[in-house]
Amino acid sequence: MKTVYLTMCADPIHHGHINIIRKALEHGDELIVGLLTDEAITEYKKPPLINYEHRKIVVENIKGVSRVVPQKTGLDYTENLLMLKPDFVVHGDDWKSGPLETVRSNVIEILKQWDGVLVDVPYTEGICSNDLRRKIHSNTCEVR
Amino acid sequence: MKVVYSYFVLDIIHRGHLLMMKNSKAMAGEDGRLVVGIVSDEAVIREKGSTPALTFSERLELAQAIRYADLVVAQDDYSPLENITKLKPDILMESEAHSPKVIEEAREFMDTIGGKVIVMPYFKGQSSEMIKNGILAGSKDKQGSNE
Repeated sequence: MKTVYLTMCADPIHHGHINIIRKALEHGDELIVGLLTDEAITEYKKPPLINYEHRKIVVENIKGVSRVVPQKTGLDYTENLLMLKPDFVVHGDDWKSGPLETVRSNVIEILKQWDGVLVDVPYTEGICSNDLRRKIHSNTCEVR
Repeated sequence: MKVVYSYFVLDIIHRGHLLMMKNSKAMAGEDGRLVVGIVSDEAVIREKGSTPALTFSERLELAQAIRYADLVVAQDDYSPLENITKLKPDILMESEAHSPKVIEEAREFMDTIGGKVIVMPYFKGQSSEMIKNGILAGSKDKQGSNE
């Protein structure tokens, strides 16, 4: 059994998350989602719209997700990686450059300890939670 | 085998939707099936005069990814009547947030096929409206999810 670790905010969840979950499941059968805590999100953007407990309920009910663990910072994966020792870490390839580049290098280094592999998957174009918020902002849409 | 029908717009998915789906699946029983209807863009526009933030196919994809959904279908109207006429489910799950007229109409049909309508209380802890208002306000102060 191969384990895969994937982090997300899911604030709110959308089909981009479903895409990456599906891709993560191509690499293993136990998918552990590291869900960024409210504090972790607040480190680098506005406080979340939906709190951790409520986001957790949504994510753990997505097909293929084995369990959800708190990811206490988006800037350092060390703690969870050492605890879970996943065979794979899956992340959107948008972190190959920019502020998360060093976080990514650190993940690769840690994974080497047990021959784990980082898989960068193409970022789902045309959607992110920020886009979704903007759309809602520009359009008084029905969201029930 | 019991068939349960439940329907949503499902633009921003939250705990209230999950509770509804979980309860619906529980009503279907272990070997039953939960059919989830996703309201089409046109129906949302007709009812609310505005489009959902996610496209229909994106909302469909989201619904299919939920653990409790066995089958996801399009619902071309705000009322489930057309779909329940075709599907003839054993149980229709309704929400008290829906219009009493729609629920009554659906109940009349379900009576004719010996089915049941279960009206779930509106989940007050969190709604898409609250999340949307939080987005519009640009802060978490205005939303109900961190109560």
